[in-house]
Amino acid sequence: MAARSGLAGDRSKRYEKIEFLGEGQFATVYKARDVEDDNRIVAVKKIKLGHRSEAKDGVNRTALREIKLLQELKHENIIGLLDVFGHKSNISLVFDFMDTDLEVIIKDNSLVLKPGDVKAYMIMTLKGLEYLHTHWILHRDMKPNNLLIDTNGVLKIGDFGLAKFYGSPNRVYTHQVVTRWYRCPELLFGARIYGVGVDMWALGCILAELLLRLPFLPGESDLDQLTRIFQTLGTVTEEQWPGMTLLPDYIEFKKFPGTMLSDIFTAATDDLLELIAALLCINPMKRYTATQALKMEYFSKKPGPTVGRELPMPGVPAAVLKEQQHTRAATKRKQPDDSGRLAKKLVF
Amino acid sequence: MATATMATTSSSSAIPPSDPAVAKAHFRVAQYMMEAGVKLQLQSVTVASACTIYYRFFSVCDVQNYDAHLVGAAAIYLATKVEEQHVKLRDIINVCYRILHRKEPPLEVGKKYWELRESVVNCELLLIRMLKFNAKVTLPHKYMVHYLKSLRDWMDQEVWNQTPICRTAWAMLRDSYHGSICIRVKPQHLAVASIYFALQCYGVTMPHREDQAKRKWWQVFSEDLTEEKVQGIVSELIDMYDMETKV
Repeated sequence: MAARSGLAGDRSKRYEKIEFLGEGQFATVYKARDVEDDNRIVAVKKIKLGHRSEAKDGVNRTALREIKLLQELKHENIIGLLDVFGHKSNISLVFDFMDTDLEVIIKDNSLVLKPGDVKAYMIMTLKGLEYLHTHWILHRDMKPNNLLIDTNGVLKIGDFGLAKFYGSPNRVYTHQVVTRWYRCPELLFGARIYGVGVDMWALGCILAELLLRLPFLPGESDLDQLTRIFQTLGTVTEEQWPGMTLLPDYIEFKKFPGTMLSDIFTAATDDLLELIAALLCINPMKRYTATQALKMEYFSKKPGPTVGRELPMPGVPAAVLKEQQHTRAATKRKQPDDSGRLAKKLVF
Repeated sequence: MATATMATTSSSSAIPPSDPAVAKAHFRVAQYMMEAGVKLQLQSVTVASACTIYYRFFSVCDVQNYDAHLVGAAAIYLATKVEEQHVKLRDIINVCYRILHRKEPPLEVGKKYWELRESVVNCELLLIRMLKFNAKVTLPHKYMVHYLKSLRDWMDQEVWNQTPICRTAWAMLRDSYHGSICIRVKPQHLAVASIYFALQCYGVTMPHREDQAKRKWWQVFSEDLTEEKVQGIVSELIDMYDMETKV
């Protein structure tokens, strides 16, 4: 019966470990082979349970949230949760294996990102976000490190540890989400009720980073983050953003004129600048949604998006760079699972 | 609340919900879970999720092999995580212990407390594994809100304002978790039946013309629902209220 298989079914044998990818405070990630599915390569994320009995809080909330949301989501551009199983006192999540992520690609200076490549990444991310948002889910931790890419160049949004259903009119949310550099002005002003704008702003920052190959607004504190936003994009008034001054942590900023986007992104075409402006709109009510953004001219104009397999991949000659890739993967995997998560909550 | 050995492999002989002795035992545990829910200031949906998890567990496990109160406490803990209404495990343990040991002094932090904590945590893991990690519960509550809102717009405003349909239907839905009906019928059907029962209690009928109406009001909300099914759920609810006087 269901009960028996749930307890006794030893699925840890189904996934044969290939290599260790990274370890953190909350999870260990392995690359594994699914012997029951044509030796498909998967990533097994083993959630650790608290060892000190006094701190035992049971099933990890973040893992539970990830399981709950991902079990219901199925989309080409969302990381697939293939299986969940328990072994002894552990819980393991089995994901699609992803070769790299956007952060690695952005930081790899040996790679050239052509306009078509950027367009392809944007389309894939926007499609994933559009799917999430139409299902009333906010990701709340969009950053290059969480945009995973497989061998075929397919981008999938990963790490749903902070994701949440939204839309309940009286539900209050924490504003302590999203890694600071990608955090939108309303969150920085302490808004407790917010919407898809938080993910869209972060995507705007990611787009800027794809073009500059450097973090766009690397604030050192929340205050510094806001200062950078207004210095770069210009301080807005209550008229431009009605309700801004009523936000819990609102503070008045010096009147910065802002820099023209065309002066920051000198190589960007007009249609691309329009997209950047639409995503990095300070007033969240006017910021574009994923659906609106996908309809913009940028996506119908030339050059077309690069097809998956032609997208740049770090360390192409696998044999030569295996060692290098290995360490890369290890550092990469570490971040989303542990230190990254802790830091997200303690960034203040 | 004794510490249960979690190593026990469950018996797969599920007890049919109709067994009155088992139903009575679960009724008492449900009462205890709801009392804990009130004391922990949990929302209706969190309590409903906890009860659903509890009944799902006992639909595949024999109640003889487990401490039902411990399973109840673990189900509450798991539900607070699933519904994102976070409560400290310590509060859950204290509240549950208090309900079960009313005459004794409150639980002190000591050996007993840590044992209980360990048991609840182990039981929670057992629950989620038994549920095959499918912890999400689709509750009737959201459907009910939507149905009631539609009915309000349709009904004579005076009648609506004078009869506490909403409150009664909501209370009946909450009470329905004293039994395992939530895992046997579709959430939409349970929502309709609670409203149907509430309307019946106050003798309110939905405005319609016998000669013209092709469908009953509830068929608009749930196409696969029959009069028989509604009546069946309602009579189960009545039996449950009946049981309350006997427990």
